[in-house]
Amino acid sequence: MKKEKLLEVEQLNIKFTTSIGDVNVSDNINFTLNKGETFCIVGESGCGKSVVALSLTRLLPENAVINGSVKFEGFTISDLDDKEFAKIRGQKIATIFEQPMSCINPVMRIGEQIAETYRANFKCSKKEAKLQALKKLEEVKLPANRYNAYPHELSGGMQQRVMIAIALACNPQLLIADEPTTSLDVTVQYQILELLQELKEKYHMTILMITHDMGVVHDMADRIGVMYAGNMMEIAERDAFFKQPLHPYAQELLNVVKDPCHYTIPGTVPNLMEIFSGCPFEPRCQKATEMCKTYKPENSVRDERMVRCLNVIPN
Amino acid sequence: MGNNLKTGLVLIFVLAAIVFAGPLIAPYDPFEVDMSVRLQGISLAHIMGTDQLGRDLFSRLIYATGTSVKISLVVVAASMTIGFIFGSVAAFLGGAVDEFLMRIIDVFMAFPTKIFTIAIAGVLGASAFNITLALIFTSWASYARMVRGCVLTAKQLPFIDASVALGANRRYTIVKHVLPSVFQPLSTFAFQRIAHTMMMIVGLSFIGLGVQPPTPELGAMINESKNFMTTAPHLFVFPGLLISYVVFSFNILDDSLRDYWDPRIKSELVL
Repeated sequence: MKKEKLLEVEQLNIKFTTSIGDVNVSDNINFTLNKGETFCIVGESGCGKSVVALSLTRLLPENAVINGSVKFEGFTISDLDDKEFAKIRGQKIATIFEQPMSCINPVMRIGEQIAETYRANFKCSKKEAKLQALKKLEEVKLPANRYNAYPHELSGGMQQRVMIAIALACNPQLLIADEPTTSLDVTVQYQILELLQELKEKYHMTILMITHDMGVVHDMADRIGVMYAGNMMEIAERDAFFKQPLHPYAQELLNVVKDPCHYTIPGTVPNLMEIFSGCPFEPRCQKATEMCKTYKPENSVRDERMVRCLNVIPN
Repeated sequence: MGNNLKTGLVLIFVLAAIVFAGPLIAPYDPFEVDMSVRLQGISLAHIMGTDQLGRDLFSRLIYATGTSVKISLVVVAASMTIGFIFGSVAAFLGGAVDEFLMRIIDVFMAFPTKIFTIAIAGVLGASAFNITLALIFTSWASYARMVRGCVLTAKQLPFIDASVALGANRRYTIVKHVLPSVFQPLSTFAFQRIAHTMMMIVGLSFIGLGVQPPTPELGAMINESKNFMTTAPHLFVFPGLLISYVVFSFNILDDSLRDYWDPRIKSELVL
């Protein structure tokens, strides 16, 4: 069965220009999202996961320089000017963030915020928007009488539900979820993930999820991308990935999960202001060879699997 | 609605009645001199007595309150408008424009308000119009600075980014998210300034730099009454009480409105 591609990212390079030099947060990243799948990007903090996600909807600060092509439904959206691009946000691609409390206006009633989002994107009467908002509240399993609640009157999990309702107000095709469950406790996390899964199936949405929680990845992902220091190290289908991760970094990440109390990957994520002559993971890699210091690994692709490592060939 | 807010609204309503419907209530013409009844105490004919020229104190007080409150409303409204324009332009445009406007504002902030107002009133001559100008001139800068601060804070709140991520355009975020968050502190500040400006006007009129007699004005009336302090104390007691009343009612309204607009405190009041 041939999968339809929703989003194709090619040669994505992002750097931030700062007064003390450039920071490269994305180095030739390629990935595609198929329609209806959940793609998870994992990696430690500071690897550029969120930046990649934000760049897709151009929400990065002004000092970011983005190069590369992003195609959405076969249409190159990276060439659009800002005004046209604004139409894509919300209607085609919606984003939910890690901190629901700070991402909802604290002095606006939640129902109003859902309705307003709907109205901002589609011209319609206030009444109709309110009906839509009530429908969305029901879909995220919040009682209708919470329509007039203020955000601070809700728990973290309920706030995240509101955030999801706002994001889904315009039935986007792609939902970017930037660590949607990180600030929630484990049982609520599970409920939110279940809700996302359910809504995804209902609306045939595609989800791009940023996380560093392997448990979430295992539950949600159809495919997985592992990022390290601005590099996409491995892309694989979920089952194949958990059976045998190929990249040494991916293997280490899984080792951490298997033994959460004692094992950590030695060393830290490198400063992204460095320019790597070799593989960025080389200093922490147990399988590194001399070659890794001098040669930058290229993407090697086979079928659905991609690995960026000199010592591993996908098979 | 809290009790403070109810009290404040009632006080302000009474004050508004005095200011705007005053000429209808006043039993006498405030300028009508009748030397036969000069410096009389409280009586049925003159419920607050008369002054040194036999003018009805009650009628004069009604007009005087109107003068003081109207001037301070004009001053606050004008400086709020100017400050709002300067502050929001500076914050939204940013960069060199912001820098330039803020330095202008710094210059205005550097003037000591009272002395500067006295200087202007002294140079241009003492009149109601001149002290209005002088007070606007010295007070708009603090509004501008506050508006700029609020806009800058509001602009970087995460929910602004979030609403952009979900399809809001620039105008929408400004109107729906940024301006409401400026409106609340700005109006609280303005209410607080009404009382403050009122004190300034009364003070300047008292030292003779503001509204000139025979126009009734609370500060000017207290000034005129000081020669009769021992013989006719009602001449300064009543205007003094009225000043306290106005200042108190604006302060209590400002305080309770702040609480009323804060959804966090509001929910506690309901409980």
